[in-house]
Amino acid sequence: MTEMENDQEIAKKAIRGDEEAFLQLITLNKEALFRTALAYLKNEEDALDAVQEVTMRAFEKIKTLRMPEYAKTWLIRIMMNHCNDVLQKKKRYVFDGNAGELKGVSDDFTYMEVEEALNHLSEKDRQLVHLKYLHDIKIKDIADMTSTPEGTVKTRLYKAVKSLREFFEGKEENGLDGRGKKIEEVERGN
Amino acid sequence: MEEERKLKKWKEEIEKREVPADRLDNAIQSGFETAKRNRENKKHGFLKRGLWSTAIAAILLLTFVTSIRVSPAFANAVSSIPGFSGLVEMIQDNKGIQMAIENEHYQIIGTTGETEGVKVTLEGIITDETSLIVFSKIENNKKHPRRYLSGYRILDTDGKEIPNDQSFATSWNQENDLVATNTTEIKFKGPVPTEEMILEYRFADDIGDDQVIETIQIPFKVELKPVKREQYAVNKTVVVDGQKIHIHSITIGPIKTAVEVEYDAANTKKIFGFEDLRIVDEKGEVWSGIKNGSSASWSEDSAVISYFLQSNYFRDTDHLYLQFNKLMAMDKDEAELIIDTEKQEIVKQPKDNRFGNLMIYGPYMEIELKGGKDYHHDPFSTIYDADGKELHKKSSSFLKNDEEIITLGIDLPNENYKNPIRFPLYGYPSYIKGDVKIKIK
Repeated sequence: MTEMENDQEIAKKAIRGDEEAFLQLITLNKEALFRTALAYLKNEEDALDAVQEVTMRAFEKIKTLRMPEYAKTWLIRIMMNHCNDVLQKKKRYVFDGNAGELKGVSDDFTYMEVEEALNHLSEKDRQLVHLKYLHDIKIKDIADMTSTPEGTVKTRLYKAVKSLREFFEGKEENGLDGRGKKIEEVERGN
Repeated sequence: MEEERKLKKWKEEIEKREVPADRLDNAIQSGFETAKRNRENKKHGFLKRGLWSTAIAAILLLTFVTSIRVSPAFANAVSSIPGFSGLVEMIQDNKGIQMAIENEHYQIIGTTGETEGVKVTLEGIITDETSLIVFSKIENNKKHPRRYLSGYRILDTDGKEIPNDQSFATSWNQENDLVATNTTEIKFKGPVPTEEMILEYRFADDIGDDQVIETIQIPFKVELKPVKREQYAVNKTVVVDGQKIHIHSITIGPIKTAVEVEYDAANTKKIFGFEDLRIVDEKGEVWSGIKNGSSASWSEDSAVISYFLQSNYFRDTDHLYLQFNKLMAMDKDEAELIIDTEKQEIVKQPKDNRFGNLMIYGPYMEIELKGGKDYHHDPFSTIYDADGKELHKKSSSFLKNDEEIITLGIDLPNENYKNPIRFPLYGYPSYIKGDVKIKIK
């Protein structure tokens, strides 16, 4: 049995209510879940809380998962929706007070630049970028999972990436404006 | 492309972060345990509600896809009641409630209460001597779409709870899933109090289930004029296919009619219930069972079962007859299913072999029942192991995927048990027929 088939088998069992298989399924995807949470929430504590919460939600809803082959995407989407809820609730600026967490992460500012650009996307587009570029999920799979035609997903992704590009280009034209501001925030956070 | 390079770098940065392995495993474990505990709580609530709620739920689904059909008189009466239009579908299959409204035995309340997450309107009430039907509208908002009604409390003006039993049905608006209408029947131990009371709506989110996270209190006072139920002592025994059925009494109130029935202990067949119990008047008008709400009740310490029919309280009649032709019943010694979960096989089932395709997936079991078109009952309730120990299933599901076959799913108990396990049947597509007509008045 290939690894992929095996993962699918686990997902199928989990859907049927096998608790052990469910735990296995979460464990298989724990890094993806944690990293998604970290990307959204910016700090380890909140990310761990999110993993706990999403484990609970996924257990409640696993029987509604129709396509075991997309269990990973399904879990990541629950995580992204949960993180978005958390952020909406806190309504805080993501760097606020947590900038310290970014310490030592990066010697250039690409990461923060991308994050800031992502913040300008709609939540839907942001999720799409996460699925494609962070988790390497195929456009076809995203399309199947969300019951959206593949062409539509492609177009949306293309537009999202285009608006990221425009954001980056805008930053460069304006010199150090955007970056300078971020450096300030990081220093304050420290 | 530049932005692709940047996204790649972004990904690398995220993947570079250290994962706190132990803490991550702990978080998963603790989420998993909480979810299991929540499910456990949920299951208990479900079990208590028992067999009938499952059958009713199945019928509800069927009812709500049919179009709304009501009499012109009822439509006319309703059009003058504020807030009622959304509630029509809840009672479209209940002539008794419709007639109560036509006859102005309906009190408009129209009080609204609201929290950040949810808004409720107590639209109005109907009463009989000991019960209250409450009609409500529930509106979620987009920010908190997950609030749902988990129950009610009735309080007096000092905040003390007034004991009651309740059963309720909620129907979601098909165009707008944030809006729901709800009818609840609340039964008091004695007469309906006439002093001011407070109705407390209790909301949970879909995860905590039994955990109430929000309440809304709405004060109200019953002003409907009291009505007297009509009670008829019947005390007749009829025989259908050799089985004795004792009809004790019939009580007609504005909300419903209750028929008290007892099946003779010496019967050779186990009778699961009536298929077509009805009251008919001298003109041939028929009042049948309640589809959208509680259809029967009984207590553990008595063999008497009350079956509920739509009320004809507000109809003037000269004569009334209780009639039925068909009961769901089967030989007592056949009314069980025995399964070995280890060998994954059916050890014993009724002679006509309608159970099949037994599948065991770890702690989850699935079996098919060839029920036929009009069969909507969950056959299972209690489970016993080979030593006669009662087992507690964690949950069950009921899925009718085509006209004939029902798929029944059961979460097997966690506790240790000895195979084979036995499911006494509480419903099965097996019937007895007769022609019973009893004069009530």
